[in-house]
Amino acid sequence: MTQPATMVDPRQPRFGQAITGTVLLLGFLAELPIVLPVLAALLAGASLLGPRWNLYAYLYPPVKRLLGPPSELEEAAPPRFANTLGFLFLTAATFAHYGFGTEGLAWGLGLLVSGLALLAAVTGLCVGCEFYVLARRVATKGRVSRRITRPVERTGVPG
Amino acid sequence: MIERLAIAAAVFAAVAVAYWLWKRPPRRLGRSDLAPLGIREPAIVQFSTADCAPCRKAEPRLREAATRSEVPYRRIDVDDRPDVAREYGIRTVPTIVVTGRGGRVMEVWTSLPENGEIAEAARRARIATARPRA
Repeated sequence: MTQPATMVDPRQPRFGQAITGTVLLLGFLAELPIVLPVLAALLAGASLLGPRWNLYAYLYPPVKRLLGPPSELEEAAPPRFANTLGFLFLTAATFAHYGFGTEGLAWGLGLLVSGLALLAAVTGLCVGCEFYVLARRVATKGRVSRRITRPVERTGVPG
Repeated sequence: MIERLAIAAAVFAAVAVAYWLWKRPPRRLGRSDLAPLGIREPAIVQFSTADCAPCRKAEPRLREAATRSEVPYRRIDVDDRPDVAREYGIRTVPTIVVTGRGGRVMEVWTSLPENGEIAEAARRARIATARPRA
């Protein structure tokens, strides 16, 4: 029997992406490369260690109180995978900056993550999440071809 | 600082252009007809997937537009029909189409437009189809 998918308020990852994108952009403009390892560590916690280590999940509840309850929940795995990709890119950027002194490459990767994170926050198009869905479609030979969503009424709202 | 602002603006412009290209209505669909899908009359057709929240939001409004313009509403799930997505070049959902005579695609949107634009297009398609051919 398969485990039921962990569900999340879809606005929570977008909130996290807005913070990631904005902080990276401000870090680039203010010449603060320290944001690269800090955000890499933050995304590592969110992606590799699970929801308890996701700082954005702790920052989100006040925002949710303002927005009201979501109309539906979506599975947590795709945004978690997107966080993993963000973590890998920012780790590479950190090594590029601090290890090899290639500032251009470091900020190129940082701005790419920033651009994609802000794109997801503004439009809802999460490129990393789409890669996850695509990879799962290929891995399961089309058996799981789409994201799992549930209306809130049936599930209750976690987090 | 100005140099950095310019670089950031260039990167964000590139992301925005990529998004715009991706969201653009597929040209192939605009030149097609949906007769192979059994649509041979004026209709409002929504290409969607089950996990697409904007599609679910759009559906009641499209049904209402269809009722108002007296044309049928059809929904095609491209997850169930990946061949259709490939055939018509559909990259994004919802993709909304108004068809005319013979299922010919008259207009395409990749997001739900405001102010009754779709109902008006469907009404025009229905009136044009009702007229005898010249």
